[in-house]
Amino acid sequence: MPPGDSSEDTTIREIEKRQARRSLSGAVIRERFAGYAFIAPNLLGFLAFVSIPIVFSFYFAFTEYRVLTPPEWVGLRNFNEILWFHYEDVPVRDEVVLADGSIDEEVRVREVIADDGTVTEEVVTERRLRPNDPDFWYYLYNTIFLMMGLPIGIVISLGMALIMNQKIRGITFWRTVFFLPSVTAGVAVFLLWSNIYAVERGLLNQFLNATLGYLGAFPEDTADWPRWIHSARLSKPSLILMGLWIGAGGFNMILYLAALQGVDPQLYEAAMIDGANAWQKFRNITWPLITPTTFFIVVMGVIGGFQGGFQQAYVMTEGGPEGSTTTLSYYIFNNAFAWFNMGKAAAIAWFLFLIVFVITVLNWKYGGKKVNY
Amino acid sequence: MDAQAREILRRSRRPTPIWKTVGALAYGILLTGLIVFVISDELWEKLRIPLTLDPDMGRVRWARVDTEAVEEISVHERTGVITVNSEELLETFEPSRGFVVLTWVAALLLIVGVGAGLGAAVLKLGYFADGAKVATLIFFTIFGLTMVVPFLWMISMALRSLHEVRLSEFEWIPWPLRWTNFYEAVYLGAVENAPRIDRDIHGTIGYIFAYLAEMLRGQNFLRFYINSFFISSYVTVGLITTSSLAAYSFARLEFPGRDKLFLAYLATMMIPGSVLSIPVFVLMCRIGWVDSYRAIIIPAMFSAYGTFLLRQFFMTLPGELEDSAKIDGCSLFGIFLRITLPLSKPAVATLTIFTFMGQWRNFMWPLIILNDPRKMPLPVGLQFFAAGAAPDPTVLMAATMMMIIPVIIVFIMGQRYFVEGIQLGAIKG
Repeated sequence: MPPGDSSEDTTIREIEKRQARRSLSGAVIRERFAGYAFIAPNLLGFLAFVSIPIVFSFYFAFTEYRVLTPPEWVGLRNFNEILWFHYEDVPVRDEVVLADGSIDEEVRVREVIADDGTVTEEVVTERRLRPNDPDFWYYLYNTIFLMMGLPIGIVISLGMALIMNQKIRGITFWRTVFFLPSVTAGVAVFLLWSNIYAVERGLLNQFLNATLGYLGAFPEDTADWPRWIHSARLSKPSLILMGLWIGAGGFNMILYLAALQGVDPQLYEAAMIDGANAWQKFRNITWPLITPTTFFIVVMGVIGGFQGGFQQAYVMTEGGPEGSTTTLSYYIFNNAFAWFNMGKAAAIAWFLFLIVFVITVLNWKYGGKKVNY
Repeated sequence: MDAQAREILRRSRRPTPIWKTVGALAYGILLTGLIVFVISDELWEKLRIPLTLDPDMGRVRWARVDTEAVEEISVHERTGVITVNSEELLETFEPSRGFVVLTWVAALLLIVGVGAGLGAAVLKLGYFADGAKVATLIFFTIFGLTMVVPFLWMISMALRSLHEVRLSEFEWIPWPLRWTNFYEAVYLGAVENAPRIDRDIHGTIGYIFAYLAEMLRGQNFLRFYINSFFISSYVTVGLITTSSLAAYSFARLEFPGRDKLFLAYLATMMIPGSVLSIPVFVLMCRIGWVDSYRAIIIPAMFSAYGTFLLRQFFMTLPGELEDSAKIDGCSLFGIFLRITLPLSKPAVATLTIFTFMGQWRNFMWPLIILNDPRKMPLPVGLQFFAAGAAPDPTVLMAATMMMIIPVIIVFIMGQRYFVEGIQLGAIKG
């Protein structure tokens, strides 16, 4: 900066400052006041029910807090309890073939000769790395398992949107029909589906019995019928199936339909002149152009998936059988409001936030590059 | 813009499809019928399945069939529910004429509605023009049936007797239709929940009002509806007010710290609800709001998402109108109220729909904070009924149907706004 200019600059700045100060007394002050006044109602509520509680929630995560007694600082103990591992001496088990051919497990023992010559049997143990809270990891696995519905749902939604994106009359009617499950979603639909999955009188088994049973491919004895949400093996797939029924024709399909309608038809005409077939047109024109929508659906789906699963578990299965439908959000609910273990609940909730945060950031950083235009 | 205007014009010229009118009429009549039956005890008494029983057994509210009961006919002392345990005996219970008429009216409306819809599809909409369209139509029909069949099954279940549920052969149309399931569901399966009003004291009109007033005080489905409606309405009005004011401030007004504050709002949008519910629950305990409507309504009124959505929309509005209004001496609040808000109708409508819908199906928070069944909104009330009283599946399906049908009607009437709202919400959000 040439030194000659600086004096002139300072004077101009001085004048500007003085003008600013003068105008501060007038319209600007009024606007500032109005700005704060407009925000005030929302900000007060925001402080009281969002931002200050967030701080407290973070504090609770480092305390032992059982509501009736004041919170007690325990440092990282809650996180240690849910996330960490410890060594444990576990009895070694051997597989034994019994006389009737079935396989059983037996604890391995070894004979120990003491100094005085007596022989005692001692259980052989080995050191194993064990999670401090095995339930937590199981519920995390459940949560991720249940998110398998997301890619399947995306494929179905996109397929439906592609079929609907034609010049067909009465499209509003079909869109309404396909949308019905997601607009009614909630406790009512979960209750409906827990009756559909009922073993003997449920719609699904009745239907399978009428169709597969007619062909002889369905067990005759009702005791052998699939138990859907009442069996630990089928409960999660059942919930995924229900989720597909609820969501396949819903929000995602509407979003895809909007994205498809935004694709320039000239691109397809040009591709047609070049002799592209339907798959090439989809792969090279449609798919790249709707990537932002896919990206949005995936991000929202993953965020929602990690926080989801509470309502269906609470209404339909109570987290069972054998905890197979308990998700992290249900575990948080139980810790906080059934067992009043607020500290641990807050710790899990913040861990959940961390997962969601990391995934979102990674998505924006690496997934964002693949988004076209 | 021109194409959009033409589209609007075209839409307004097109007459309402027949299936829509007939469907709406059918559901309207059915709903009115249900309401009338629930209110009018006398009418109900005439319609119920006639049972010749010992007068000492008390007033008969509804009859149930239970093939596992020990006695042939028994009356539950507390609830007054009659249990019939013999299939031969059951066959002697002819449905009364009122039941038959009601059933036929419902069947007729259903047939006319479906028929009109199919006729319109075939005649007016020009399907079956070429092969590809037929294939699409078949595919749509299959997919649509998958969506609709569970609902039809729900209706079928809601209208059958427990006896028919246990029959090994499944029939889609139970006969006679068991309308009493709805009556039972309205009072959550317990006859004590039904109001007892002396008709002779009040007179007919007074009786209806007294009955309604008593229903609003007690535990029943009507009360759940009212709770849900008022909670959702209050939250929506409050949220739109606070969010739009804050959004206007963020979008248009200059004040120190504005952008930092907005960033703080944005940052909280990623926080999961479960992180928040713990400290807010503790707060509610401290200030004694547990088990109150306030605890549901007031925290829900302040939304970072709503503020964000509206702020993004306000930013896209042209500033010239506001500038000229400012020159004309309009106050900032006046500009907000008379110019910005009316221009942002689509965004406000979207936020209204989503807030109302979100509150209507809100489950976790009311479940945490409420104990009194009389304060519960619909989802929590339904869950309370399903989990607590262990109702018959038929009665439970009747209750589920009462929760779902109004949502479907509202959706069919306003589905265009739903769809546009989703698209707007996704683009901005």
